[in-house]
Amino acid sequence: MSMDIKEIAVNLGEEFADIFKNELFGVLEEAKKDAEQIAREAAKAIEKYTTDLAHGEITKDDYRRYIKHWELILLNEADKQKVRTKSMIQRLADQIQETIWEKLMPKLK
Amino acid sequence: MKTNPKMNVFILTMVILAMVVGCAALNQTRFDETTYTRLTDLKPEVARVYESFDEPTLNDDAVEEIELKLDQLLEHEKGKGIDRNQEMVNIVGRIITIYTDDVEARRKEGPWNQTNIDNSLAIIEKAFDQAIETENLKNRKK
Repeated sequence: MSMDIKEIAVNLGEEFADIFKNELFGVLEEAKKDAEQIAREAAKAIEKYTTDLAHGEITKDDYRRYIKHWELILLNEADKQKVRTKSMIQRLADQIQETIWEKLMPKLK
Repeated sequence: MKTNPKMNVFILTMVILAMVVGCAALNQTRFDETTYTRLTDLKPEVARVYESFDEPTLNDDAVEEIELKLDQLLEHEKGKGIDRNQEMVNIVGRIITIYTDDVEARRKEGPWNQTNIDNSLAIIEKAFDQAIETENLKNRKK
């Protein structure tokens, strides 16, 4: 009978590992995509501000204000990624709970 | 059916594990429809105010109305508990900083040209998009 428990434990372990692997890869992929996107946007924006300044369309104060605001945008991005990670943990918890209820509860005698 | 005490202990252990995992995941607030709606409503309202920055006089009523709505949103976010909602509190706080800086610059400089409007608007809209995306990340249905 202890063999049954061992089998169930192994199956559950494999299932949890799959859930974790899929979630983790998904989060890493999305985070990487976001980081690349924000870096591209920031570089393009700063290039434009430099041209605008050179053409006299904006002042130095405007330029400084934009740069300060882009720093805040980058901090926002870091906070967004923290929420993404926490949401992953929540989804993992949900899936682990769901798996335990679905797989084990019917075996409870 | 025959009772299996070992199996029952194992299942009970797993159930406790599920509960512990569930509790550990409670360190973040859930998706909030109110936050999402307020952000998506505010973004075009803010854009409208920015687009008026080229006019000779600043529409103080509109500017202050946005300030009030942003402050109310910040309080709403803080009300969910700083520990569990620190990121959204930070992001909304930064939107307020960007908005306040821009309004102050507009007051100091007078009417803006289109380049200044476009550049500043693109930044604050980006900040709103980040806030909307961040709240949306908490949506478990997606």
